[in-house]
Amino acid sequence: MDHIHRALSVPPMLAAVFNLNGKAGYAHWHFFDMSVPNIIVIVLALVIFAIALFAPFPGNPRRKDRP
Amino acid sequence: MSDADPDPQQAPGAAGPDASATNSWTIGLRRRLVGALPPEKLLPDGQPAYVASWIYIFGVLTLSSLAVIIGSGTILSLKGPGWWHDSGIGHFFNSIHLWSVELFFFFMLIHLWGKYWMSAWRGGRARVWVTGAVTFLVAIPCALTGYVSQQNFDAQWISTQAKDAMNSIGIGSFFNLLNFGQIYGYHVFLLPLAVVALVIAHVLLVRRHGVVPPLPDDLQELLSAARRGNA
Repeated sequence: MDHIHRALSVPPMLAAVFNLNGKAGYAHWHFFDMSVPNIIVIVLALVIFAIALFAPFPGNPRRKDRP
Repeated sequence: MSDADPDPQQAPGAAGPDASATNSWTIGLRRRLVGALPPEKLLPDGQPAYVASWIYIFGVLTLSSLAVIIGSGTILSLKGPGWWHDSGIGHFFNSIHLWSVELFFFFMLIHLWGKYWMSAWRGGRARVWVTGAVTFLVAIPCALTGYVSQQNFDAQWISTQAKDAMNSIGIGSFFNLLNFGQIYGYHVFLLPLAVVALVIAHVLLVRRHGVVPPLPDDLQELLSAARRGNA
């Protein structure tokens, strides 16, 4: 297995900022139980969705400014 | 061609299409296709002003991710499912494949939210909405069979859990998650074929009906349009 691990090892400069190979943490509250990576992805999707709705598009006037 | 030779473009004895030519299925199909999707709609040179919004780019981002998925997946299937275990390049392409799938679902989810909240099925676009929704549903088993095809402990864990799920809803005799050959075939051929066919149908329907406009500011205007059957 060692040769496989060597082949898969990533140079330090290309390694991820966060350790993605460890066990994920979990947020638990009452019936709610979700991994932290899943929560991050869902919140990120909501944030990008809001930005996509409200951020001005280059070259396109806002609706209230249109003639 | 001599004067005696018949013109292959001309039906015999007629200047235009004769009765037999109008019964030709190729002519009928061509007329129907061009009527449903004329070239200026299939490949338009402009889009309405309302398309200039960030929320409208997530469909194209989803398509771009799908192109990377198909490209990286083709290379992985050429080299075999075990390639990424013992090769740095294989690991690289496997990572490209994984992260393009993650982005595909991420962009498709935001695309779905955007279209849901602007009621994208308005104006006779029901089939556009349905093909998009079905694509989302078919893409889920397409990704699941990929996780099962990793040939590692993760794949073993997922396949045994998914096997129980299949058995619990009574379709375990059709989809055996522990049968690597069957699931790999689903992952590299059958399900991608279905996803790509649905995406092509979805895009062609968008071309035919046009990109859905935003909801009107005035609620009364929306309600009256709904009564007229335009919303």
